[in-house]
Amino acid sequence: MADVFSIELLTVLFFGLLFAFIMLGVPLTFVLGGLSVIFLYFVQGPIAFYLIASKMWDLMETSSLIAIPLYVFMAMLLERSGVAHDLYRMMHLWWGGVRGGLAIGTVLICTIFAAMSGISGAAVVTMGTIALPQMLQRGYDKRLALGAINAGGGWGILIPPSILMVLYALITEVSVGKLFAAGVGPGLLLFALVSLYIGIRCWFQPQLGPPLPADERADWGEKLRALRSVFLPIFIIFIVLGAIFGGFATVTEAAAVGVFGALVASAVNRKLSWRVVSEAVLRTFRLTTIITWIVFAAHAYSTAYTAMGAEAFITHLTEQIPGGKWGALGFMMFVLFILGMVLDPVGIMLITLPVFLPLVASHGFDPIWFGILFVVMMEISYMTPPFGFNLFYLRSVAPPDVTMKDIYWSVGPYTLVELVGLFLIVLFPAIALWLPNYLFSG
Amino acid sequence: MGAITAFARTITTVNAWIGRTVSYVVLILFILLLGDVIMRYLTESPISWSAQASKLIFGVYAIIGGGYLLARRDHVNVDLFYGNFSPRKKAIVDIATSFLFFLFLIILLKESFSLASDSISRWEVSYETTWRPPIWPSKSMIFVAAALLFLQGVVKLIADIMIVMGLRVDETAFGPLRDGEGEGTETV
Repeated sequence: MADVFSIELLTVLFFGLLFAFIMLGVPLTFVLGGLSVIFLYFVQGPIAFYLIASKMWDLMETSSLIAIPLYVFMAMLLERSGVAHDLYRMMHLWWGGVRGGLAIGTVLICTIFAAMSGISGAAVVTMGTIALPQMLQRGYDKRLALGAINAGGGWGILIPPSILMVLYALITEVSVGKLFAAGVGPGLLLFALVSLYIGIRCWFQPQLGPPLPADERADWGEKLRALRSVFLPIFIIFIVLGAIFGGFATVTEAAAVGVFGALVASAVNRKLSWRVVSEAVLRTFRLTTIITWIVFAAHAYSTAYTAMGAEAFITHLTEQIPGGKWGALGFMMFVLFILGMVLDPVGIMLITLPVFLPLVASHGFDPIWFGILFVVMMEISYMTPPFGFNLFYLRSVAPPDVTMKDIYWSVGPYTLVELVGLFLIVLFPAIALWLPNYLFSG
Repeated sequence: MGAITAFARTITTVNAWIGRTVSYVVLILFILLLGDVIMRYLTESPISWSAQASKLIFGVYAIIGGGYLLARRDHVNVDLFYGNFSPRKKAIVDIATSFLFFLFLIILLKESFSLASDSISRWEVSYETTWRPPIWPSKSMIFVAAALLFLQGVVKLIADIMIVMGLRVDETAFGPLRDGEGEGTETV
């Protein structure tokens, strides 16, 4: 059948229809599934339909996917465990006296939270509930405070563990452990850059982030007692990342260890109840099912894409981009940035990777390094309007006098700061690659 | 009309019940995998069947909730324009694009049926390890999951047609289902 249409026309139709239906609000799963059926029919005939069910079975048998519900469950438990509350109190006592200190402390907590959580949403909601009202009450600039939570709240997918990395590793067949390790440096870099930005701005414009009045600052005894709050997070980070990087457990097993840690943390804070657990399992089930159905449908879609032979055509097309390999990289990042404004990261990843990976290979880029750039772009996509998830989470928990306009405008400078971070990782790949090379050199 | 509503209510209720019940399965996965790690380091004898069992259980957990998600309208979509449509316009667009859903699901039903009947006819087991668990139950669940999602899609289509015709749609029967508790962050 394929000879009826040229490959150029098929490819244009394939992607054109994909985006047309997505923009019409059709759920991604059904767009991907429906279009794969149509294109498989025209390219290979109905004989290829068995692939749709058999690929689904292959994915059901993939043990690395079991990590998804477990990391989600862990994050859902931590969200209600009171851990973030204690961390915020500690940070308030230690950083309150510094210009912009509460905002810097907030992104620090986001970083710690990201190292315990494989998803991003949890940190935004938690910090939006705990830190935002406090900062606003102390006279912090709305946009500075909102942007800090927006930016820091997305790091869950960059700093290990990360569900997005589990999926990336599944598709590209790189080691999840290495990818996790490669996220550590860039995560710390973004934390440093964002803190630096807040610190410098508040140094020159103290009215944006006024220090706490001297009589409200804590004495040393209080400060030291508050440090107890970091024990539980460090315990969780240590058992999960320690198990993975030390080679004691697979990424999936480490997720089970992390769930155990989250249950312990909830119990220590007396937040553990059957109600908390049953709410968490239901939300875990929903999010896992959302992800797996997209993954299943996207698998059929990438099969159709490969069957069409569109790969050679796309590769040929990108050879026309000026600037050689850096032009191609810039183009891919640009596409991710644009898609990030409207689509969710799992969807973006599953749609673009079949197209991007051959380019990454043909230009000789390291797939782990590229994975980190990809995840940083997805992190930015969480906060770029009109459709970043962080924006909506923040809206749902922010006080009523915070408008959507405030939230939209808050992300501008933070997006630039993170793009600077991305650029640094492009210039110095070692920022991402030194840790995996060090840990897994043997 | 009453019969259609009763049909819709049955499908939606079954999917809601399945969602709530199967959601607890993550606790089983947790115990199986944690148990494996603990046994490996404490007694130096890992549970040989745990990794395999957790895969078979996860497979069902991962797919069975498709219909439940649709009953809640939880499948991810882009709201950029869709979010501003009136309910009637949404219904019209959904009807016009429903062919994607039905193409996907009908093919999935057909293919998963032959996968399942083939597997059941041989009482298929896995030869991956010395433990030879039956895998036909897990494999057959693709068909069951597809059927649950398909039926919920039919209910959704009927609801959309009723909206376009200006009829009142009972949300408790046709969705969107609101099973209340535990709303919150639901993205990666």
